[in-house]
Amino acid sequence: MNGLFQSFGKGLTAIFFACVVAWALVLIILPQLAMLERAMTKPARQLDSSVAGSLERDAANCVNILGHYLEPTEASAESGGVAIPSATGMAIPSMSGMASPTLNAGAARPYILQCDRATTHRKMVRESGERAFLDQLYDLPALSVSADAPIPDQIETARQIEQIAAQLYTTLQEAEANASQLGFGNFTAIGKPVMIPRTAEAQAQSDAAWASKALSLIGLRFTKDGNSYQRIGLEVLARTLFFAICATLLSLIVCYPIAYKVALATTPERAVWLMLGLIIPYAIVELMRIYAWTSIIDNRGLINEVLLWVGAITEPIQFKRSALTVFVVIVYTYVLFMVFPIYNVMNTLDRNQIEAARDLGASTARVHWRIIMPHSKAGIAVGCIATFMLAAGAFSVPRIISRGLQSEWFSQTIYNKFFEAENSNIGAAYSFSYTLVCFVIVAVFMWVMRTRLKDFARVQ
Amino acid sequence: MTKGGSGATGAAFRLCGDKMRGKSVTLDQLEVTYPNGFTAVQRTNLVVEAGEFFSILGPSGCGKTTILRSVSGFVQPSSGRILIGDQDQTGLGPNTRETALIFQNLALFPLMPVWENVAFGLEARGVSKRDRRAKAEELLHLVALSDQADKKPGELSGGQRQRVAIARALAVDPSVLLLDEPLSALDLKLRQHMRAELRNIQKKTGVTFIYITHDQGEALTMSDRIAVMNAGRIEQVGTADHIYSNPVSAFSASFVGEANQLAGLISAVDGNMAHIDTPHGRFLGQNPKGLSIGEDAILFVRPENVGFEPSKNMVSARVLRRDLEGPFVNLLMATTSGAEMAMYVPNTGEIEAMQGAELQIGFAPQKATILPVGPVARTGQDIAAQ
Repeated sequence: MNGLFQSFGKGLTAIFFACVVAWALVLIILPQLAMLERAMTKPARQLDSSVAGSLERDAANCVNILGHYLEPTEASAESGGVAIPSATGMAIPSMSGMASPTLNAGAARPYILQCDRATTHRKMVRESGERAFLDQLYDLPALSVSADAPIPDQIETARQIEQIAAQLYTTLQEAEANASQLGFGNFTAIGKPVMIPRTAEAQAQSDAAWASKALSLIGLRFTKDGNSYQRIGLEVLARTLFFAICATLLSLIVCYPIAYKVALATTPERAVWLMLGLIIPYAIVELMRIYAWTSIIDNRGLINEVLLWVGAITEPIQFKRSALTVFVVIVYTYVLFMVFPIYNVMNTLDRNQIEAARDLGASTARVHWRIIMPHSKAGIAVGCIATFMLAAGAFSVPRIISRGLQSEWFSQTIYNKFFEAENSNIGAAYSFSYTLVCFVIVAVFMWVMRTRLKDFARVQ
Repeated sequence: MTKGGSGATGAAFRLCGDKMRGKSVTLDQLEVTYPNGFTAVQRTNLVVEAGEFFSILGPSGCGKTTILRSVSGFVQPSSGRILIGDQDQTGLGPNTRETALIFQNLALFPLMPVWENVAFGLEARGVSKRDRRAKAEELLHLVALSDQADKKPGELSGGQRQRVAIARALAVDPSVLLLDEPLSALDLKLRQHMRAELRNIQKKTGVTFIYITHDQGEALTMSDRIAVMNAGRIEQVGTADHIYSNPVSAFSASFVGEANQLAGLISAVDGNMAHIDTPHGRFLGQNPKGLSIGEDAILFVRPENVGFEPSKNMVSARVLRRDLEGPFVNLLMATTSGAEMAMYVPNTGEIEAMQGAELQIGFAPQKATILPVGPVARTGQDIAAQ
């Protein structure tokens, strides 16, 4: 602190600290808090007030559209067919195509989605299995717009529904604003079991797989009342973490000898060339690096073509369906984040220590175990943490390599919750728990390695 | 070399009782050429006796470290062989030789406590932890560090680290201990103290010490014998006294101790004495190499052998500079012919009066050595000018 003052003066130091605080706040603390808050609330459209609001809008739209049918003409009948889509965000498209004249031959108007939905007997969003309706829940009169009634009566009913819904919406919103909406509902969704419909044979086949046995052992798969259930969220999480840890271990096994060779077993002039060889593949954009693999593992890719040509196989091997492929590509993609920390630390080791150990009679294995590894521990720890976090968070590799032909990586699950299922609250809960789990794993790892934070300063 | 099971008392017996533990080291036609084509050690024959404190003295880059590294096994000779005792070491790695090396920077293991450092060699030999600890304690006692066993090397002072390195090397019961200028990083007082201590430990243990240094003071005070080395070649081997008084090459004479040099031509030979004609006069000196008339030669004479007493070799000079050393006065004289000569004279208080006057200085023929022209050691001035 004093050192900073002396080197940079008060002005620059103040700016520096302001930047650090701003960074910590804006890029670390606030996003995590925002994520946590979102994870602990239900999506707004699942709230009762939202249902009431949607009903109000539907009724209002219904009134509007019915207005066109008060004086029936050819033109208005046509335009009436184009039902205005409801703006609630529910992914139900306007079904103007259903407004077929033959279906509604006797009616004064074609089918109108909004009028159909303008009923107080409206289903609420509840956990699966539970059924609740707006009119029963809030003691409303059971009103709905009947297509058989004369148009003015329909408009009248719709107006009534609109008023009731508007009133209910206001009261509910007030009540909800006062009540706490926080809960762990989104988090429990990760562990929710999903029934997997299977034939008996498929079930037996699945049960025989060792992965399935392992997953049953930790309670992620079970059978109840003859039906098999899987906790899919947790399963994907467990799989991803398992593969990420294996990828980290494999990277370590690959990188330690490389780092040793470059740092300690090569003359500096030659080490430059080795270094260059390590860096060049990483001058290529990550996506291209991953994509290059597809030309190798495709059904008509390099490996399969060669094997077919040699005659070793008759059918192409489906590499895309194998988790092992994703695993190998992840190791390839992130291996450098393991090499450099280890290399940097090893480089600082006095080679005389290695010679001294050898001179005292130590075997090569002992020199590594007692001299080089303890010295490089901090680098190994940093490399492992970096590789683990990158592997666990890998998104492009499983996506490009598997092309949806195998089980998701957890990062894909999170992405899908956010952008495909459009349930960002569940997505937030998933990603927050994932952050937490990874953090715990890293902390445990550091404890096991007996790495103190100050050791990291040696890694550069 | 004992494996495991040796109790503390047994080890103590070996450390202090067995005087003949050291083995001889023989360099037989050794030659070392590095892959880049540089010949660090020219064809060399050398025998280091068992239990000897042997120093290899030479300027940096003369190949002395290469010899040490070939003996310890880190460098493979390009030709010739090395014998320890009467065992050929060709093909043996450093971890299987009966040598232990003490590095210039000591190369202690910073992450291990002192006792584990000392016991590392035993650990590599599979000795149980209890015996390791016992042996380490005992060796630390030998080097007076019993109370530092559980500290890390980084917490010790320079001299203590030095002694840990010695204890670590001795722990493996080596027959030959190789020391690569281990005292060069210490300050003067400590260096002088450690010289005595090293000598002491060598006597106690009876291990053969091969000590590499560029510091002639260290070599002269500690060694039984010294090899003077220059440019990959051993110039002279002998006791400190012998080398100092009877140098056999221009390099030896100029590198070990101070020497005045007067170059000229041999003009007459008389038994083992010879006359040399120099621009500064004609002098008589010893002719150990048997030079004949007409050969180029250099006459070497030590500053302490130059005096004011009349002798056969006289030259007139005046005092150029006078440095008081306490009991001695170092005088730098300029002869009338333009040469500079150094002389050490006892500080009797008479020098003061001589300032400025023209004086007659001389040296006894028996104290002067005439040697063939060859490379001479660079003076401090040369090195500074580079």
